[in-house]
Amino acid sequence: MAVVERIAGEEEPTGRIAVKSTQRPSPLLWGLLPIGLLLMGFFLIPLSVMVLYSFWRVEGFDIVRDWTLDNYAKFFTLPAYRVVLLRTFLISLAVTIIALVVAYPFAYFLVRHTSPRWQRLFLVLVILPFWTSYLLRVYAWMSILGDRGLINQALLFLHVIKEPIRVFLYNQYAVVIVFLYLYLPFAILTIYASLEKFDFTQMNAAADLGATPWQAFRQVLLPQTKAGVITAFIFIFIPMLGEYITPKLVGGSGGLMIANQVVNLFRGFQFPQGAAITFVVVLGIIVFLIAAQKYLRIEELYRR
Amino acid sequence: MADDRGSDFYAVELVGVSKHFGNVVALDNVSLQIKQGEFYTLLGPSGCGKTTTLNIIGGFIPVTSGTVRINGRVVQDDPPYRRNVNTVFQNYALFPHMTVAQNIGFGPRMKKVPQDEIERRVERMLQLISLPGFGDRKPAQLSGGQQQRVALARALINEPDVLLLDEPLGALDLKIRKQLQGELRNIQRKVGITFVYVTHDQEEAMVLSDRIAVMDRGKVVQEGTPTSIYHHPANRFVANFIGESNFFNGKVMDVAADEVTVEVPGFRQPIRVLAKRPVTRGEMVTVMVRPECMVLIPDPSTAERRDLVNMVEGVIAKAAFLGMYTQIVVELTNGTTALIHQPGGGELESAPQSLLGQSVTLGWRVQDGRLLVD
Repeated sequence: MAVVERIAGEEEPTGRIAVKSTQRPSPLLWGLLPIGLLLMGFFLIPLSVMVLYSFWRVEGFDIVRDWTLDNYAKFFTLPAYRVVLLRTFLISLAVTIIALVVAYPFAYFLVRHTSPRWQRLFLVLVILPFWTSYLLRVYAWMSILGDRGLINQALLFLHVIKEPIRVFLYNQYAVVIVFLYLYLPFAILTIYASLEKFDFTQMNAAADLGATPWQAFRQVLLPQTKAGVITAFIFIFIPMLGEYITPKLVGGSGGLMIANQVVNLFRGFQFPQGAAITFVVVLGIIVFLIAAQKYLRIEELYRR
Repeated sequence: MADDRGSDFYAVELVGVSKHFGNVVALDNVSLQIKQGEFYTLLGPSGCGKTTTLNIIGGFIPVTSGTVRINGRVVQDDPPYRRNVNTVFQNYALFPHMTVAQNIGFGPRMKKVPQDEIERRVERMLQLISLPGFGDRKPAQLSGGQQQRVALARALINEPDVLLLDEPLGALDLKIRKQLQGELRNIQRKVGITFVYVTHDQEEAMVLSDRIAVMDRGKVVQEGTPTSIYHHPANRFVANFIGESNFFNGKVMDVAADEVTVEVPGFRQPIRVLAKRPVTRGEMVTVMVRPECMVLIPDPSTAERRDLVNMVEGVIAKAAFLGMYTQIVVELTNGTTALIHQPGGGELESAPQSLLGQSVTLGWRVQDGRLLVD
């Protein structure tokens, strides 16, 4: 029979638990082998090839293996590229911020003011769009925003307009609207997850200590749900930088994003230029992630 | 410190306060007067309305009717932040992302107190709760007892008129709880702030309080010092809730100037008890006797103590030696049982088990019985 001895007196602090490190890392390394191979074959090697391409140049339909920085120089000097890059950045940022601003109060409402049953129902509704294909969802929006779409039909029916107007589709606002629809669930789910863990008696305590609702939000709730907000930011902002289909379908020429440009370049056999642009974006994302890791501490989301 | 707070007024006064949640009456016409600097405890089983009372004083829930005064000012329509009252929550509700010092300094920071003054006050608080040097730690690095003390400091730094404590020691181990009870009492004496304390633990209430209000089903059934409540419980509920009791139900046979005689069916002789409340002949009453007031008389014919005028007979059904006393359960001739606490165990001379089945007589003095009317 095991004898469990408890030391009387002051309890042990709950925070730090010393974990004895065992000097046997080999099982872990074996576990990493499959994913390592996958990553190597389908990601690192293609990426390396692309990096090489970006330093070469093209003549007619041939890749010439002369080392050059021209592709990068061109990217940073040609106004057309800059405009598209800036637009990509701004659209992604706008969608991310709007999604966070919409998702946070909604997730708060779910956690604070609905019963667990309704919470589950709402969450299912939030996830429901994922059951249809991405493409179908974008087409659905085209049929809402288009010439003969829902909005135009309604306005015609109400005699607000005499013939269909074309302001809803094929511009960057259409891109923002559709992206918002596509990415909002990610924001809701991640923020919900962090709010759900939060102990709301802390808000009573803050109010009791004289904090206004805004002070309580800024000083107590937001810092402790920061991880969810940052994760949502990353889940939305980064994939959006590589979005191709939506801008192509609903963006018109004024709503094109950087990935569309890359595709055009590859179609036009401008592999080195396309690769250079891609690599700049990838580098930007890596820098952003490192910064986020260092200053925003994503790993806190996985604590406790 | 309490003196400069206008001691002409009660720290907290409830007048005819009722609270209904839909059809449920949580508080029924409750009136309380809590004095300046008092350690006042609301004691009762869960659902008795003690936490509701605390929340009404704190302003977290509105009253249905009645008046609430804090330091003489009518406050029942004021939100929590307009009352100079702070609360220590049961689960501490410390802010885990802040250090201990930031937690304690939260209240003054919200009120835009200058940073250097906040630091001074936080330092003083850390001294008060005997955690100097802990300012830079996070709450997760503290033990439960230490977290509780930080929660106390975080409330006290605001120098409230009244501090509300909602079962603040409920989540702690017995040993730590005992230790913190002492500290809590010391801190309260030191700062002189009125404490209103909610607990369901009668022992804790007795140890800590200047005065206790015993609550049951939305009403205050008795208010008084721990000793007065223990020795003169207002009714059967209080007698049962605070300490252990024996009850004998019977009919009033005779009412003299200072003594009442009660006939209990199944007992050979009637019980004599002091007439502390008006009763009439023929009325049904209950006589309460504390277990430590009852004395085991092995042989009544040679009894030395003439003052043990009340005697009942029975058979020992259970006996257990508990160190300070031996706890004995006696099956009485009327079919009920009586609980006795016999000091020590030496007088019994033999092991408790050997007492089982022994016929005994129990005796107690006239002044040890209490007459309860309900």
